[in-house]
Amino acid sequence: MADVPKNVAAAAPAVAIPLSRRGKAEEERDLVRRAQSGTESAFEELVRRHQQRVFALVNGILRQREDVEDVVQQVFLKVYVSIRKFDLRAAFSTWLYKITVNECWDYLRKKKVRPLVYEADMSEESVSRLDGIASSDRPPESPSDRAETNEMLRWMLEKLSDEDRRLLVLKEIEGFSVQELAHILDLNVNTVKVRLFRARGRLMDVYRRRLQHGSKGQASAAGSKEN
Amino acid sequence: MEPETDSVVCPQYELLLEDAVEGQLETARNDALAAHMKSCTNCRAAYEDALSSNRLLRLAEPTPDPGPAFTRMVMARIRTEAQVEERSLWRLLPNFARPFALTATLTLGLMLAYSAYWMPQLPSTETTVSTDARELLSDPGAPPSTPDETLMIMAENEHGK
Repeated sequence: MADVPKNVAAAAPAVAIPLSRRGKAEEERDLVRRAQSGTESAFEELVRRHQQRVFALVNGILRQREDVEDVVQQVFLKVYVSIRKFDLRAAFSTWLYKITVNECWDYLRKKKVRPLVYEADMSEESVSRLDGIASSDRPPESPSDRAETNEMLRWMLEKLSDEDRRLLVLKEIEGFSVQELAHILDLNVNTVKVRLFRARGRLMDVYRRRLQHGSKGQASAAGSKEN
Repeated sequence: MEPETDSVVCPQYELLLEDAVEGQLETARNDALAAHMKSCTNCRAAYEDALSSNRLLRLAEPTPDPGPAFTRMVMARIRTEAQVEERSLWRLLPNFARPFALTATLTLGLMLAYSAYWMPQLPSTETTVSTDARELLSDPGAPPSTPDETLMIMAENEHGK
């Protein structure tokens, strides 16, 4: 399905932090300082800037959309209450993600949430469509196709362990970096990389098993038609 | 849930493989990995799998930004919670005030009762002061001021012998 590219490595990303990013970081520190001194509009701006990432993180961990909004609100409430304790030595986002992850663990512990299980299996049609999508590099165009692809991927991800799924979702779907994941999940950067690599392999195991199951099903259906 | 499977790739290349999938290998390490993958089918297959999984996962849509309505909702909740907290602080005040007022009234009552019943029974301070004053005023070292006092002192000295 996948061809190994001739040149394995792409160009290494630039290490130097661009000026605009440094400026943004300083601007954010200023916002935090103002929020710490009680300026509500500064805190509102921080919420506006980070709400998407916090949402993505909570979504990646909880996977229960109806509760995600409540948990995110609770996170920002906690941040508001304790922002004076933040000493600005680390990046605000690192501190915020740490609070978010703790809030998620608290939520899971309190609610004793059981893992979401997809009872319905993938249809043969879905499997062959997903195979077509995976082998081409083009994303599905129509909204219904996109929704179906999302659903199929979610089905596959649900077959993985919590840890594998969390890593893959946060890294590949929600766009968190390996460094961010290491901070968030209290893991070594190399550990995150190795676990990610293994999780990718296990996802493909799920995919292949389903594909084999699908082709067997199609063959037996064809056989029964002939008879 | 799928059972955990052990990695089949060469352990010393696992980290390099992930870096290669992410496109973060510099030329030297990239060449070393490419040479290894020519002879190692397991590592090559795992690398292909990782690339395919990436291709699949990137088809999924990330969580969208909840938008300005959510920001407003968060801020409204913060304001409400802050008001509730402020109100609860004021609510605490009567709770503390009531026992404080009761204790103060009881203490005042006890003090009044004490002064009403116990104060008149104390000995007269005037008498005590006069007796003590006399003792204090008679100074044995002072010379007699009258002839009668001189005679009394002489008589006391004789009696002392």
